[in-house]
Amino acid sequence: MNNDTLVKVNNISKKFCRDFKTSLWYGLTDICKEVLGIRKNDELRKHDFYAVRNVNFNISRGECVGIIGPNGAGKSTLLKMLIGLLKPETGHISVKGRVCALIQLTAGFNTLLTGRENIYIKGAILGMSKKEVDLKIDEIIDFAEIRDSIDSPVQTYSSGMVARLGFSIAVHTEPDVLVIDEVLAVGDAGFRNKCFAKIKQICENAAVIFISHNIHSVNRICDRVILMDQGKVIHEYDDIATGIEKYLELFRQIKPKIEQKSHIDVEAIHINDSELEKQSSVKFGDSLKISVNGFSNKDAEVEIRLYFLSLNLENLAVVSSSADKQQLLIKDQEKFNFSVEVPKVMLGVEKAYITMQISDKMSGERVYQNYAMTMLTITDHHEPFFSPNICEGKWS
Amino acid sequence: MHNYKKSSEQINSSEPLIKSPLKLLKEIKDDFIASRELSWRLFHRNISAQYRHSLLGFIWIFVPALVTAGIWTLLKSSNIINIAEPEIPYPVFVLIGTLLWKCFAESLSTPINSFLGAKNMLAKIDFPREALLISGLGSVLFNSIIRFIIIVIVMAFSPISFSSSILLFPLAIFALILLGTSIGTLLVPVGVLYHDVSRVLGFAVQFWFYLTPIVYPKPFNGFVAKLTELNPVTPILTTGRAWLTGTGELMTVQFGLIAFASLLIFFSGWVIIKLTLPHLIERISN
Repeated sequence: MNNDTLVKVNNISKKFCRDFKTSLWYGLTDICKEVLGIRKNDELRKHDFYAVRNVNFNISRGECVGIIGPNGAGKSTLLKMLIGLLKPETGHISVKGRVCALIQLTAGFNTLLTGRENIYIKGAILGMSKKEVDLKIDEIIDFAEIRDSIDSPVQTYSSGMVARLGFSIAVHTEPDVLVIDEVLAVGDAGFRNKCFAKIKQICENAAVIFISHNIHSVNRICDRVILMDQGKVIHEYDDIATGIEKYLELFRQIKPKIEQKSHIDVEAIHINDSELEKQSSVKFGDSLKISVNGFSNKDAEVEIRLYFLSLNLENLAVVSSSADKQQLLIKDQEKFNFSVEVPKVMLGVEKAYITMQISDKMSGERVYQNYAMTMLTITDHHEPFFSPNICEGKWS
Repeated sequence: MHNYKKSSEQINSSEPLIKSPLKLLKEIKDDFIASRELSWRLFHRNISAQYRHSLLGFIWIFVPALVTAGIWTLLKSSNIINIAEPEIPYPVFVLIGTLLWKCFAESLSTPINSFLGAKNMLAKIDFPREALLISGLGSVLFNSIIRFIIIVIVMAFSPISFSSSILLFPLAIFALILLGTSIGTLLVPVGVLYHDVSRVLGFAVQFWFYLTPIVYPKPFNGFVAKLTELNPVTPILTTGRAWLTGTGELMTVQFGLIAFASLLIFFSGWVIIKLTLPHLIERISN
């Protein structure tokens, strides 16, 4: 079953037009050409640009593939071609079996009608027969957790309820290919977990394509990632961590530039006494020791900060020498060696990036920064009661 | 490639579909079969949602025609306008005419409105789009049946005696709907891109109303007579009215030709929609 290729994308390109009025005009000429059977050429007309350019990949049954990339990378356009909404300019896509897309969960609902009526309508839109819906309606209602209000008009529902209903109908169509575009932010934490579990379950017997900016979600459910930027596939990664790493590298240019005339040279960084690598790990609740060796060209007092970032690059926690009332002095033409020990790692996530920053306390200037220097995996992770934003460290 | 089709390989290719006509016809057939269930659902949804926020409900289907007929009768009886006397009582004549006209006018605007109304759905979900066309046609038929019942009631209370040709009358309603739908369908591709089309249609229908022998009997000479002669609605409407009332001019040859042409136009419109929709979706989803 596993070598069954369900999605074949072959040299796909798609162009769009930036100017709306021109776009409508091109649309009119395109439909005339289509009716007359003239092949569209793939030259760019005025205001045109390629949203997707020469993309190839295959996906088999049982795989969950994440497509990641910055805004405007062409992910959603690619997805619309996958589900047959848009016609590609070049190449072809072949898809086997029933495709179900979770793009806009509420599309096709009529808010005047009841939830039950809408299940039948949306079910029919997604290709389910009345018999199929009859069989699954209880499951759909229970999954969406809206049994009490299923016979009220959808306009009386909260937005979370509508989204839950939409999700529930879509995942109960038993798709062979499931396409998900940034819709898992619906509902509360409990419902989100249920969604992930359901997607995992579908994935066992289907091909799942997952588009998200939420690196946590990608990391959680994908087996493989495809990194896109500016309409092109940069690379496919079987290892999610590397893919995410490369994705984040695309944003590296936005990190603050370090002053040219930095007066310190960092020679080595150690994490729990082993040299800095791209990946590191620590057991939940254990201690984490980070040390930095270097050489200074100036007498100064410095502040060292360690930031723990989520995979989405949000700040989770910080360890700061100033907050711990440490005076870290460096001397001109001398080596320095500082280390800090976080006694208990209690982060609320399974994976986090560590960023190290050193700044001059007098001028406030940042003299060293190593952004997302390592990805820390927290083993035996469980949800902490409380994860502090400022961790206390033991400095030496 | 469609999500509503099970277990067959679907291909989305850059090649124009019209170059492989057999494949195109097969896709149209498959889509039609796939769309039946959905068409019924959408039809049901349209009808039940249409009157959920309304006190008078189905009354809205024929009240406008009643009011129009009332005003024309009032204008004529007070001699403000001078209209040749038809062979049947004028109020009945006008009412039948306007009710028939509504069948045509509604079927003319329905295809574009169905597609524009489903814009959001079109841009987000792949479903058999034919269902929009069919469910729209369903709503028009439903409303026309109600109008037909009103016409029958009016006839029963009028002094006009029923003739056997009345059995042919439903054909005229079907022909009017077919004519309207065929023109409406042909306008969908451009109408989805440019809203000018539905605006123009909005007031063109008003002029068209006056150029059709609805509130006046078919004239025999003059410029307007020429215009009404060229108007494809004229033969169907007058023939239908003649079948119903047993008096008036029968234009069965033109009737047949127009009905046949409408059928052809309707199917080419259908094929054109099928071919052009991916392009339309691309432009409306931006």
